[in-house]
Amino acid sequence: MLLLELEEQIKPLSQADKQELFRFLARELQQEAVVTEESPVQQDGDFQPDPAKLRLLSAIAPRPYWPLHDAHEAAKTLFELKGSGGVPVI
Amino acid sequence: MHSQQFLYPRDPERPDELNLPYIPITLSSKHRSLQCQALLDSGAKVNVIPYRVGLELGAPWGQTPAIHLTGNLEKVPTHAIGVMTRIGDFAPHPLLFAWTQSKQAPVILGLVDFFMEFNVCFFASEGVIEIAPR
Repeated sequence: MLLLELEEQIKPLSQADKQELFRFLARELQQEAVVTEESPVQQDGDFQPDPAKLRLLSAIAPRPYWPLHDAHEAAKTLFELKGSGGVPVI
Repeated sequence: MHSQQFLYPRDPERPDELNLPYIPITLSSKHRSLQCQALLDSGAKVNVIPYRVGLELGAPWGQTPAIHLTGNLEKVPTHAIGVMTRIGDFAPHPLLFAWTQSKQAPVILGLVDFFMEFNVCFFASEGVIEIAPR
């Protein structure tokens, strides 16, 4: 319930404040992955953070519309179309 | 070939802050022209235009080759289209865009094929972008 209320309070925050909060919560989540002598270092696939915290993080996390730096197939397709004239100009 | 300079956009309320390198461009089709701000993104493999821009230009959705983007646009249907693009005082040049059905994506000028057709220098510390056709 507390986290639901927090979501509503977070929504109107500025992007800068959201990013600050995001970094704080990310550090909090990271600290939950405790490494001890008995348990080996948890890989990303093993770590199960609190779902409520994850939902809160996703509500404030920056939403990039890219990275398009790994859009290799799209670039290759466009490049081939450019060379073949396969896409007419509208 | 001569180059042209564009200024990094500035927020009047935060004049000392540097924003992303958006430049004004004009996209034209047989039906109409549209002025918009485009992000110069040398980290983007392709050019991108959002759904509404393609519609406003009168482009036919779904009648050109489909392409597959990545990141937040990975699951969004996208097609390749060619659009006459005018940048500054340079002659209009046909560029290929990934026309995405995303409504939020900005107009992006990326490696294929904006940075193949234009040379760009970012003088971010001076708030200036210099562009010249290749």
